[in-house]
Amino acid sequence: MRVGLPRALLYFKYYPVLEQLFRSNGWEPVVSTPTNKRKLEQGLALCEDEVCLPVKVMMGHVRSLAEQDIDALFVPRVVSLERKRYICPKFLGLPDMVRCSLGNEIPLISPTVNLSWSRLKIWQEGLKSCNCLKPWRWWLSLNSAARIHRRHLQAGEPVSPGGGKRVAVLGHCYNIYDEYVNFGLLNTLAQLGVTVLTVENFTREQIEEGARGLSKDLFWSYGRDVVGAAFYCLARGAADGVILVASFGCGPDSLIIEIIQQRFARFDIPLMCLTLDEHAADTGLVTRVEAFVDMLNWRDVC
Amino acid sequence: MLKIAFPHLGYCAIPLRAMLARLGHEVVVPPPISRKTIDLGTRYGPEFACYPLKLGLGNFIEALEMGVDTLLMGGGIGPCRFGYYAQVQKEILASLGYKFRMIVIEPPLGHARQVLAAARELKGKESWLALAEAAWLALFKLRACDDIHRACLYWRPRVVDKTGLSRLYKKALAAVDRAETPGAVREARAAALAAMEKLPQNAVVPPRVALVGEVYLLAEPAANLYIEEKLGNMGIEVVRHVWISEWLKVNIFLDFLRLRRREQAEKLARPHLSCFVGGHGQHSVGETVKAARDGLDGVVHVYPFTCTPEIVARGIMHKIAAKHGLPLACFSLDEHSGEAGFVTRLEAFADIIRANRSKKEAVRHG
Repeated sequence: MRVGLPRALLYFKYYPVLEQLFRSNGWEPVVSTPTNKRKLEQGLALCEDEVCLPVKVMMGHVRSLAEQDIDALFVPRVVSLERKRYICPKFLGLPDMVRCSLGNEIPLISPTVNLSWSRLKIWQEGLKSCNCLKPWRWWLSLNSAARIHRRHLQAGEPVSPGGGKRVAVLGHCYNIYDEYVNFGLLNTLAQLGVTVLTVENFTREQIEEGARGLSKDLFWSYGRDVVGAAFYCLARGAADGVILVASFGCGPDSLIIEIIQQRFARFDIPLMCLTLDEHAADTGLVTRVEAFVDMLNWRDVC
Repeated sequence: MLKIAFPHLGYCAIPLRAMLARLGHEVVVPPPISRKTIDLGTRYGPEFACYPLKLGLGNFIEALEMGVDTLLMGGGIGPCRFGYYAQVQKEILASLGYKFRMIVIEPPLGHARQVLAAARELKGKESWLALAEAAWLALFKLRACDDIHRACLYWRPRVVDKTGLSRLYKKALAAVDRAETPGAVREARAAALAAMEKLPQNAVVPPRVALVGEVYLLAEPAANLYIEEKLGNMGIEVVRHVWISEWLKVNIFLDFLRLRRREQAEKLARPHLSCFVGGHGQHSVGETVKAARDGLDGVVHVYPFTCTPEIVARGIMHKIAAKHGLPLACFSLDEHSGEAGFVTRLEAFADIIRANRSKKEAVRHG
């Protein structure tokens, strides 16, 4: 069975697990090609105008997959990835939004993903929502997926202490790793000779340490990671500058950025916020990034 | 004794003031939301944050300028942003140099200790019994205000003298505000309902539209640009299902007692939006289905700009409304909303509804 897997949203964080899960259950993953102008335009046509950019991009990928030869489309309903924490509400309604704009063209596989459930319950949910799974095989692949994911989380590749300033680029994985959406931000920074740190470069312990600086624990998993990493940079001087990347109108980020800005205003690490939407242009973005890096480099001289 | 203030939410200042005054605090009700409140909120609030946060921040700044030392605010556990408002507002106000304490009331389920601590602080030197009594009076007043408001929505399109009704409504709320005992509240409520009924009426049966959306925007007329009053004055009856007293009952008391059952709106929404998306997203979808089923003439959706739950709901509501041929007007409001454009859109919506009505009647009469 060929199952479409959109290269958007949480794919950027969970692709090792997803592709492994697909293959071990006998599905052939059909991953959409990277985001391009056409996909974005298709997405814009399918969405409400106020939806955030990542969802518009997601819809574009869904549309382009629907045009390919696939038997089903994988759009999970992600409720929670940690105990007592959510991610953004749009992930809760995503399968309904997709069904609403695609109609019944292609069957959707949309299991509810709630990692605060026990493994048994996750297994049951998988069987219930994807009726093509073989119970025993699914249980085995679930266990190996959990192992892979744990390794993936622990990795937190340490950064080579190369030359140049260390800049932490913090934001949701789908804004950081989608090169079309952020106009190759990571490459631009690398060309400017800085060492780039992303949320994945911080270990769990470091993020926990940073997040302890919050007055009330945040209930959004990814927002908490961003705040934790930013506060860790402040406390330990782990970065020379921080760039926050957010999509326009992002609910959780609107508050998270404010919290981080308030805190950074009292300290000496420069902070820049980049807001992405479908109207953003690469020239303005590159200019701002260059100015930021220049400023970092000149701070030593002055 | 605390000198305490809280943000506005429609007429919620009435029950809150009653409760806190009963406990011996000096209550400062912030000035009604004005252009100044909006400007203060948007100047110091985060750019993309939703309208309720900014308005609340404006209320707090105005109250602090009046010499308040304690602020009262609600909390939450997500995924809606409201749960983190208090922390963000606190940081912003502190960075502006204000000295104050903030009491945050979290939902009791899972936060029993925090709620108890907040209650102890509010109680001050009074007994627990006095606190319960004060809360009881506040609930009574809230129920009465909701009832008076509901009646006002019903009568506004029907009465001839709309200004008279507005005057009566204001007087009724003031009477509830003055009442000292549950009995007096009951009397004020009964008197108001009776007086509204006696106003001279038109003979026509007004078209009915459902007003759905995010609870703050529904309950705060200054935020929704007095949409209920405007529709009513155009001769359209507004039907609302989200009420603060109901919301408290379901989400605080029943939830705490673990007796919360799925509400009708949530059940109706399930085929279209099968799970809770935070805020009132699922309710908005459910009430659109209900409006179509009950044969209402249209749906008006109001929510703050960038409210994710309502945006998720909106796409789905459009499909449902199109399927049932139900006119749907969506208003995403914030500090930039202009009155004139808003009124034009409402008038156009009212025209569509009246045209549909006369078409239906023409069909009925052959």
